[in-house]
Amino acid sequence: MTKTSFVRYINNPKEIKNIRKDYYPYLVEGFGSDQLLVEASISEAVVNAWRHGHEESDDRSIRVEVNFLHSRMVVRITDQGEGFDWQKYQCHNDMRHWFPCMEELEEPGRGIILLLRVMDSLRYNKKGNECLLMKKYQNQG
Amino acid sequence: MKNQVKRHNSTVQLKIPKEVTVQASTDLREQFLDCIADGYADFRLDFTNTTFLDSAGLGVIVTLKKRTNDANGTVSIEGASDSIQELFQLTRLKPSFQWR
Repeated sequence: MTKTSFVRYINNPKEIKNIRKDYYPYLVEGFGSDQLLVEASISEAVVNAWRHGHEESDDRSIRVEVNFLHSRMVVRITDQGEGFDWQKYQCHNDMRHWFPCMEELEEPGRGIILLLRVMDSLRYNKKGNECLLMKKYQNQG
Repeated sequence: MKNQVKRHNSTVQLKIPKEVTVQASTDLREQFLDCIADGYADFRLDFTNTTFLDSAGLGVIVTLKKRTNDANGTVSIEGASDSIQELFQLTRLKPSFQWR
């Protein structure tokens, strides 16, 4: 993979369809058929930033940075909100294997499970307004 | 943009769009709710052309499933790629649907 970076600013998750054209070919190159799961995870992180960081307002922009490095993809999603106390929600790695039944599975829970299952790493900055997603490419073990 | 919908007896056949973006999810939700309001309870969703779906789209399909459960209806999915099936699997939704 040739190192490539994209930085885009969007105000509403609807604009994801405009910027995904830029990184889509690299997702296919890095993740093959898993690109759909990776894209769904990026989309989830953007929706979270808009919903929780900006309280569903389109007045402020969300920074979407997608970096394709030699062996992995690193994504940073930054909103202009006040952040949240993510340390309250820290969970053990076995969260990845935890599944509630469908009746309990409202949309926010489903999104975070998707992120945890698909990404190798999911982190927040101290303030809680920047989310970092990392995943190794398919052939990197 | 509305999606292709066919109604036969008590069953609705609906072609899911290529890319189920946030806007497309909103349109789908409206279509589902319209059909349910008209008394339809059995849905066949055709994912043959779908290459993008996220948890917003999954949320709409779960809403449909819950509503049809209330009416003793069914939701079946056909033509889904391996990736789409994996998305349902990872979020533990796969067993809730009939797969064709």
